[in-house]
Amino acid sequence: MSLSTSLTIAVRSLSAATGALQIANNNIANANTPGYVRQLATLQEAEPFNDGTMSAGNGVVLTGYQSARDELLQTLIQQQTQAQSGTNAQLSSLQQIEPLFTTSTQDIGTQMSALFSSISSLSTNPASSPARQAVLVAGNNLATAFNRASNSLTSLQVGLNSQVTQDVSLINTLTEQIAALNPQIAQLKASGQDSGTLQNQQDQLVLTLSALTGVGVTKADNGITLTTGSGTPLVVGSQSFSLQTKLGSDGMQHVLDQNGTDITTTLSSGDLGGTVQMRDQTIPGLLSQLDTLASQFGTAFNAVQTTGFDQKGAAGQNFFIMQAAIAGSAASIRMAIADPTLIAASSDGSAGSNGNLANLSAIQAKPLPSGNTPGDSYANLVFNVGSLTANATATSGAVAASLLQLKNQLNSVSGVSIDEESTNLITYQQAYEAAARVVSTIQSLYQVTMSMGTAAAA
Amino acid sequence: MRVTNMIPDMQYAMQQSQQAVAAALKQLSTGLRVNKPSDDPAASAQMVTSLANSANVDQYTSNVNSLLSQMQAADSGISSIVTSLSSAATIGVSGANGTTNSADRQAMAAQVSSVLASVVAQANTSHQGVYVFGGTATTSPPFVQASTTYNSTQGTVLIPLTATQPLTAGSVTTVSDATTGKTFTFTVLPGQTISALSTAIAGAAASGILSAGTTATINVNGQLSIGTNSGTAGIAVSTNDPVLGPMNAASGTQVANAYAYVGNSAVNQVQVGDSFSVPVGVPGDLMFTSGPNVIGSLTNLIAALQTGTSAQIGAASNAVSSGLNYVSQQRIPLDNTISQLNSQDTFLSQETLTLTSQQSTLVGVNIANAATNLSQAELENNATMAAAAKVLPQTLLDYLK
Amino acid sequence: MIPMPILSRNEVAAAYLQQLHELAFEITTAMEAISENDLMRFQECVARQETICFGLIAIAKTVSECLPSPEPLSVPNIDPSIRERIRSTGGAINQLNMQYAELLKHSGRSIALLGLLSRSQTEQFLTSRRTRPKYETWSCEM
Repeated sequence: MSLSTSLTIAVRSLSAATGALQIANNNIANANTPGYVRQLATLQEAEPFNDGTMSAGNGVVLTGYQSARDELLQTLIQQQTQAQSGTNAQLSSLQQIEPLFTTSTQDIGTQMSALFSSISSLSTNPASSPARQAVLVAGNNLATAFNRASNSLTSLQVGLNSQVTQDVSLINTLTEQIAALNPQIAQLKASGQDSGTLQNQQDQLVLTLSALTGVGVTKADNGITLTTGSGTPLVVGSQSFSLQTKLGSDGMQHVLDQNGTDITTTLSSGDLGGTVQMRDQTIPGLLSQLDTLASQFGTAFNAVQTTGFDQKGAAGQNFFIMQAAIAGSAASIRMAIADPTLIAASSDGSAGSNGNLANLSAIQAKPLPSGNTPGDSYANLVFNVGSLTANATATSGAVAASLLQLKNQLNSVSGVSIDEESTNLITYQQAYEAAARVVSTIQSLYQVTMSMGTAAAA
Repeated sequence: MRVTNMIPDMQYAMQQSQQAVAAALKQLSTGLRVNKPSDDPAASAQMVTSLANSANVDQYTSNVNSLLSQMQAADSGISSIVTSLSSAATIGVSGANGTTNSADRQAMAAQVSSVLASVVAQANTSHQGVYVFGGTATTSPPFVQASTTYNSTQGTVLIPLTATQPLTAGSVTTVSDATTGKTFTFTVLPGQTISALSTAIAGAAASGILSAGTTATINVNGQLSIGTNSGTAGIAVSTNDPVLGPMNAASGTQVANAYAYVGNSAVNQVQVGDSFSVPVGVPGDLMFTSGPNVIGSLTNLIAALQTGTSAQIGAASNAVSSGLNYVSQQRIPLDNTISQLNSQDTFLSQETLTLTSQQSTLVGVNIANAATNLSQAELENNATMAAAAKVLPQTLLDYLK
Repeated sequence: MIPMPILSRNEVAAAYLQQLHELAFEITTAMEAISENDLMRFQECVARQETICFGLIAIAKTVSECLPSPEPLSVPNIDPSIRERIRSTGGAINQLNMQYAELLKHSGRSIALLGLLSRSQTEQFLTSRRTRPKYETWSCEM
């Protein structure tokens, strides 16, 4: 080896050491800055010097693997952040919906029971004016309960609707900022300078964006490229493409890409995705169940009223005011009568007969056109809401823990070899498989546990 | 793991333990393991059904109680009536005895007359505003003093009703006869006139539903007049036809000691269990004017004592005794219903217990256990907080304060 | 089989309750271990969970085998307060288990991806001697 070569090597080592010191200082100062990615002083072996006679050292370097691994972890964190935001968006709505279907003195189930009780009470003395009045009051309370539940759901939708607009506006701000950083970062890299700080800034912006919506991230030489879940570009190089919102014929804000294509239904993750999911799928589903129950119940009631006679001997009128369409029934159902004598208790036209009251009472145990009794229909609704909320709660807690794990992995000292890491991961996967088996065992133990101590357990 | 990176772990641990404390606290204060549907969706759905069943059971119990008190009032009325009939029969038997003279018999007639008044009063028993022997017509006394003649409100000398006057289709006119103990009902068909009503009433008189000679004619005042044409036979008439207007007894035509039944024969059923309904009482006509016509028999006994022969008095007394037997028979279904209601009451209180226990199993939590859970959660929370305090930098501790 | 006297059944039920509490603790510990990325602690935890489950199954079998012929549902055949606590703990475990299952799902996916990376990277380094860190064209569907 010639003297000049040795000198060159020495100079290089010195620079590397100086650089490492600077990086270490930077690390300490920035330890608590969110998203600060610890920069490893990647002391690498230089390219093997080949003068034809011998190679001056080589060795497997972890650098490339580590940076790829960190990028993957960063990506996974973005993924989980999306999932967390999406779930939390849904959970916060569901937590407002739950009280509507929790047993109280005013929920729909309680008021339905109260209506049937008042009818049964009237049957012992059909001429009693206070007893008739009580039936009208009970009917009114039930209609009000339907109205209240429906209105709460629709006003929740209104709130989510404005959330969509807000999210889109925020997304556009972020993509602008991300795009602006691309050329700056590329310039630093091209001149061999350290682009770490700007890189961290950009990563943090992407993370914030991920919390809002699903994005596809591609790293290219001119910076990162961002696309929506369905492939429409958001950021390409130094250019950002805005999303727009437009009021649809359904009264909801639709999200359009820069070409005007409606991408609302493709949004499924992040806060925006969760919000849209809740607004366009979950809440309408619950409203539909509610409306069906209100419509079928009211119709059944009216049908029986009209087959009977009121206290003056005239044919019975409708008990509830019902609209023809099922959608919106719960919001619009109201009492049609205010005069107690109009309750069609009589089955034969005489004032004192209670024969038609038995027909009204029978509605409680008879399946509606949907196939379920009114009580069971409501119970199904309660179960639905409970399950949705319980699942969202479980997912939210789980994703939070998973996110924590990823952050811990990103922050931990990764000085292990690839082989060791690989082995670890395989062991982890095996442990997960074993854990999953135990999970299903625990699941099957649930029934046994709940029926322990009764003859049913035998 | 670097020390500074414990912050997120600590926050997570703290959040978990604080949530555990909150959940334990909620359980303790509400006594419920399930406070909202997401706590246990299946149990919550089952609770909806169970609570509906509880509400039904509560209502059945309430129905049982109100029916029981009503029927017991009816039963005690019947009891008094039986006693009265017995004493009337006894008086009658002595009256039939050839040793009594006219003055004695007049006195006896007066006694039986007051017995009749008290029987009618019992038959008109009302319990909390409900006339228990009216069938389903419970808002006014079922037994009224009979009169020989009833006149319509409509019709005047200048504008009289006529035989060709059309009546309101669907309207109902009833004539109850104190002597026969039966009620004639006329429902107007489309196109029918007063003439149709007159013909129908004549037919009823001929067939024995109404006293012989009962007619419906237009009187000198232009009113429709329905009368028995007999000084001793009384009726009660009502109508809801606005063409006739309410029917009123002509003044001075009241028949002493004669009562007609203006209730109906219908019986309401009331549900007191999921598949169990009971009839509400016995209608007054079935009880008191059908068969031996208890009320009519007392009327006849009074008349016989006043002006009849010993043989007639004897026959009338026998009729009263038959009436007494008849009433005792009619009482049996009522007493059966009362005892069924009592059994149902017991069954329903067991059902209540079963349902309450079921609900507690579904969503309840024992207070003592909840208290234990809470102190355990608080202990763990304190440990977590203490550990966090050692690890976290000062700024975060301030945040916790 | 001779029906177990009620007292013994209660003791057995109390053992069941104790094991349920242990299981709840182990599930929580497992979730903590995952979030702390502590593989060994996690493995030990899962092993303990397995053991507890076997124990629970055995106890439940004992209780049910020793029940007399069917009694009316309203008559409990173990002490009602123990039964209540068992149900209450069972419900809590059910919810924890749901969360734990979700965590395994999410975390499992992450681990699988990292594993894929390791395997593909190992192959890459065998073929290339270039040591300058290169920004790979990394494309990821989120």
